[in-house]
Amino acid sequence: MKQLHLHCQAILILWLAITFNGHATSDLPTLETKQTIDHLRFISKDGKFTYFQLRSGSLRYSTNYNVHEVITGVRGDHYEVIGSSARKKIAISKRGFFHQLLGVRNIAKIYISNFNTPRVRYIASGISPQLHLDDQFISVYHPENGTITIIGTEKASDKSIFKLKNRSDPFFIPQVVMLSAKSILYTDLSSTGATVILHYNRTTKRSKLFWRSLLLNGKIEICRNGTDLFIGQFGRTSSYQGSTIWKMDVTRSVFDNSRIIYRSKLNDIGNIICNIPGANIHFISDISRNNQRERFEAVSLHTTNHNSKKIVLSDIKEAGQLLNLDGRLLLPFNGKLYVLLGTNSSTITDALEESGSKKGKKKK
Amino acid sequence: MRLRTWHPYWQGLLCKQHLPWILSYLLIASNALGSVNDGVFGSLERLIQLDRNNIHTLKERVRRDSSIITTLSQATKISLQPQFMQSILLYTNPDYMHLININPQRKKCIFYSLLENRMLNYVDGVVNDVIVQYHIADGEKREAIMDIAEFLNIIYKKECSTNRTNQESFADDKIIKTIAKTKFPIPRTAGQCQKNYSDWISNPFIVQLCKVPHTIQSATKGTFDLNNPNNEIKEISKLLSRKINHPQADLYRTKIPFFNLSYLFNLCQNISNPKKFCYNYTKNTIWLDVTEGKYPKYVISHRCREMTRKKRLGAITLKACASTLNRDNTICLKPNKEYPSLLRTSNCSEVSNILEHANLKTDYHDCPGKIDNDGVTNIHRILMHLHSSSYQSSSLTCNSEANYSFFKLNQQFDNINNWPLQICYLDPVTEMKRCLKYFSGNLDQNSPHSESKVVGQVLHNIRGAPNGLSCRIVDKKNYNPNRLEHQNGCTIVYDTKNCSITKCQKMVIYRKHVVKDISYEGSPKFYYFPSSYSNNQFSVDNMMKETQKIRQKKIYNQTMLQRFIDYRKGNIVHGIGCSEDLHPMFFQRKTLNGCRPIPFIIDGYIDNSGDIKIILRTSISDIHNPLLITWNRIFSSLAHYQATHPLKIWSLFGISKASKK
Repeated sequence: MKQLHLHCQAILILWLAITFNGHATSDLPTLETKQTIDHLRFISKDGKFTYFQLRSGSLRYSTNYNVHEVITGVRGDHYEVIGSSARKKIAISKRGFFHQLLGVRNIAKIYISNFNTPRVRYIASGISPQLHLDDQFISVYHPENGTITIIGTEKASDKSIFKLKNRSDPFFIPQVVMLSAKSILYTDLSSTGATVILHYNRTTKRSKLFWRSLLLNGKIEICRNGTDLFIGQFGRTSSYQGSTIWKMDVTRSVFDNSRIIYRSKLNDIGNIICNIPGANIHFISDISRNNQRERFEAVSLHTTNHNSKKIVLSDIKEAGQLLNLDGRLLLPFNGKLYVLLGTNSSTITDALEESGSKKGKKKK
Repeated sequence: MRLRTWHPYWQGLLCKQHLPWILSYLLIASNALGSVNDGVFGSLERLIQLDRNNIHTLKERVRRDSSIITTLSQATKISLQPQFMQSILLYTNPDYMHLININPQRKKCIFYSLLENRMLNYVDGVVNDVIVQYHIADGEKREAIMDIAEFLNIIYKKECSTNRTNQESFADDKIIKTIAKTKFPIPRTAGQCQKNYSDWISNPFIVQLCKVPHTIQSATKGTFDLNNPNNEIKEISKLLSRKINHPQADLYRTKIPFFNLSYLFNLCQNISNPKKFCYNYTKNTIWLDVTEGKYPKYVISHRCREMTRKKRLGAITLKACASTLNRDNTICLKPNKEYPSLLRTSNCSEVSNILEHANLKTDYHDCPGKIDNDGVTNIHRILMHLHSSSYQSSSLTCNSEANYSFFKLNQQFDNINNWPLQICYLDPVTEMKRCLKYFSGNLDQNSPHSESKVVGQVLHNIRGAPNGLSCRIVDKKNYNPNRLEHQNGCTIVYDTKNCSITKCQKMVIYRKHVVKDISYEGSPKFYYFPSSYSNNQFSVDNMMKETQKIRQKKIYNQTMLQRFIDYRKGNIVHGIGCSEDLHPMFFQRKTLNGCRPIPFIIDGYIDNSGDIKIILRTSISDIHNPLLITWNRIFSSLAHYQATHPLKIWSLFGISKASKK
């Protein structure tokens, strides 16, 4: 009996060790979906349409119990689907040989389509596509050439290409914000590893310095929401520490150091999301205190009240990324998608759309 | 500035002599300003303003006195004007004041030496002219502005005449030779270090030696300020940067050996702090442990080559590198353009701490930024570790080394037919396109697949070049068509700064003519882990298992990881994860299931009272700057990559060498 008791204790301890071995758990709701999340690439806010990928390399668009093939592809292709708060266009990135050519700089083919329709057209090659100015423009970065390309989504001939000066980090991916059709802010790296924000004028085709970060090896993020421009500076080393976020009007042509809305002595991760509806911005912050162990959580900061404190949204201790999925704020972690803002169910609207006369299931 | 900076002054003999002067001056001045509530000392800002006003008033007064020229020749008892002296005390580096105070017998001579070497400051900046007070025959006191050389000429006739001879050895045309002859002993113990420090403090040339780091630092600061883009007057700053050059600083930087320069910086920056001076030689870091033989040399040698740009490193140079890494934590953060990689984020102390627990053998320096497929970088690192191999890498060969490792793996597995890289040409006989497999570079000159040999073979086929011709590979910056060796035979020229294995503008030159009929084709696509059961055989994972006599074990959790690494020295773990989770500070995930997969190696962990951090080297980070990461982030990266994988594989495996039976 004594031996059996000891065996039971050992099994219990082993089970506890395996189950609870360093995996953070959370009380946050996870995203519910109609199919396995692994296949999904985009879900609209109301759940009415989704993009998903098949193992054959095909990208499909599903709505109202209809499925359309968007891009055929081949096995080994990987897709990313990017929307914006304007909800007028969708950008799709198709990367071939995804499991054969490993790296962060591998070039993808970028396609564009109208929001809520599956018809796409090829627009450029590069990485990190982003929609701007009410989805009138798309920016794409080409790491081999070190160039940023701005293309009109309706008028492909409306195009500008300009080059980064970066020679410090071959894996650097710039951030791009369009202030107007002719005016672009983008990040670059100096020879010492300091990040700078440059202003490119599409008319004069020249760049000038907008602001230089004093934090060596730190990062700068820029994010636009309507008439507000947010600039975040985050340290990445213990030698040059601190995090700051500024808020400015997009009409400013020079950096205004006085408009600080957030400051911390610690190195936050950043990854700012500024275009979830509302007056808040969201990012990943180190919320530890007084020489405690680091604790990274998703936080929300109200931007109209300059004295506001950040509100902690998550409870996983090691948050790293935030995702804006058509207005839902998600936290991807350990293979799960936690919902921080918005509904966690994309299965609510499962009914067919009324098409005028009779209702009924349509054949796929 | 804080009032605390006044304390060294009060302790010093020189300051005690001037103390009554300063006190009475301040009493009068504070009363004059009516700042009764501030007391004698007032606020430092007010003192600085007061000092500025007084010096400018004094200068105006002296300049208006036209009798100076005639009366100076009759001068007796010449000395520095007290207000001017106070200004110097206020603005000069406290370390230099400490040097004066600690040598009571030579305090005046040290002071004059500092003055002569332009190392003293006052309210208007560096002291280039002095304000003196002197007595004329009838006892009347006068004041004048004098050139330093003129002032010291008078002084040296009466005292500190050895300053003149000391200074001659350090004149602009002799300083480099003098420093080269000077001995800079490296202390091995704390006691030895204290003695060294005391010897330096009483060294008659200490001021002249400290002039070197002083000049370099002043030049660096000036350059940085001019480059500050927040300066709105950009045109003027451009003009200033052209006008102000620093030939002396440039001379010191380029002509004085790295070791001597490093020693001088440590000495002079810590002249008032013997503990800190010695700390850099006795601090318990891996850098010093390497020089004492406790760790292999490669831990520091590749970094030292980067710092000194020397190929051969003697024991003294290694020791100098070690003390520099101890002294300046930020050296390890500087971007390395010769071996481009992700920006470094661990400083020298952190790297030292990490390397003490790391297992990976890294006697080479690869360049992830020049390799198209990050899988090649990771495989190269694993193979170099398994074979304990080494390379004296350079920016020309670093990517070829990785490519060659991968080629050898395929060759051992008899998979050359599937090797993707080839050099193609149009066969003049058959008029068909022919391609020959190659690996870039010339690391194995005997291999028929080396780029040199393959290009030579192609030239033999299309241009009738001699059989067995082997082309030399030259960096574009070193290529000179007028050099005899570049005129004969064949040369492959390319710009190493803008080259990866497959994307490279290469020029093949044979007998002074550019050969345009040769094309480089193919890109290194392969499966690191199999994506289906049909491509399992030729996946790199399988090739390594078959050819390297290793055992692989899947690692599911942190406990397994720790146990695996502890089980045998040299055990490492490799895997593929999403870069957004491994480097969240560099890459932002913007889409659902967005992932940029990168391979990585785990070669140790640090247990800090239960807080476990894992030693990570991703295929895009510098091999000599490992990072610390938590298990949760690794798990997250693996889980997100698994979601994208057709077989949903868990891509984390431990590698250990199979034990001999």
